[in-house]
Amino acid sequence: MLTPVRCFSCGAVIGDKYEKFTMLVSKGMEPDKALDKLGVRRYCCRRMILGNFEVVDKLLPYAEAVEALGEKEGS
Amino acid sequence: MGEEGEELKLAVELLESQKGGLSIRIDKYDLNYANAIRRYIMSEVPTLAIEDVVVVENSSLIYDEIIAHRLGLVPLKTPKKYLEQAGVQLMMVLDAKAEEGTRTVYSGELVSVEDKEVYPISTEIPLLKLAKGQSIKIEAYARLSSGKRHSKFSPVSKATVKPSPLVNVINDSTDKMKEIVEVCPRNVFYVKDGKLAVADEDACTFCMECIKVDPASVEIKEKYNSYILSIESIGQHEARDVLMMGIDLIQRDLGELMEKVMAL
Ligand SMILES: [Zn+2]
Repeated sequence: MLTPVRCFSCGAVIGDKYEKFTMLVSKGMEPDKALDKLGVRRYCCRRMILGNFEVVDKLLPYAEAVEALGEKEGS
Repeated sequence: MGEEGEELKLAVELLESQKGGLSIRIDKYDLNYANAIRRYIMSEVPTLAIEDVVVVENSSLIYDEIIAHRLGLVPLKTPKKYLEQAGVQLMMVLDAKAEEGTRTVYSGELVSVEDKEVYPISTEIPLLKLAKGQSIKIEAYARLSSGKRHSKFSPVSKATVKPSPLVNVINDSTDKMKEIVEVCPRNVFYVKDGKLAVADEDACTFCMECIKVDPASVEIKEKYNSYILSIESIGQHEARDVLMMGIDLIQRDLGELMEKVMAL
């Protein structure tokens, strides 16, 4: 659903790095270089970020549509 | 337990002290004792973390339980005054509403009501996402506990003990030197003036990849009774404090054992 807060194996906080990682990669940086830049050195933590997918982003549009419908009916 | 004629005197050397990380070499010390320090650091040093959550309102897509679990994993700065207060309970609140559009609620919005010295170490951990019109209201209670109860209370991520490596180059003009430099994942070797040399001996992890390439030219051994203890703090306490607290807790427990044995 959401980025895990901690690395499953070592317990380091990686939740705050996923958004920075996607931002760097979208700017054209290689994923391995982006991880190095963020200070994610161990491969247990690196796979947490590389293998993540934000499912919640696929569900949010439905909630938004429901909200928009409610506003329309209200007016 | 030293070799014959050897002076039994402990020596400690600071190898690395970065933000949140600490690495020391302990000479003339036994592996079992070094490992005891490591295990005490991981499972005995107390920290604060969210343990109970009261969900007052949650109209988001994320289930209450998932939010509670995520809140528990957020590391909290633990002031030293709480370390001796076993039953301490501190209330924190999370109150967020998506007024304009879809937004992410970050750990920075989790605020302590009772003590401003207790705060989330990272303010940028996404806790949940809210679509327009959704809101969340949570009362969370932070408690003091240690890593043996739940690993969210552990003050360290990395905590390792390894023997001090001894890397020797036997034949520094081997024709396989380029391969040796390339095969080492920790960049222990480098080529200096056409000769193979050791750049960082302590970085060696005993993977023996260089030995597989050229067994006759390099030699890797473990230094007798010398260990490297490295820890990486998550942030609840400073790395140096974590190490000292670990040692302190062993002393406390051994003292207690001593009292019990004397009372027999
Ligand atoms: Zn990890």
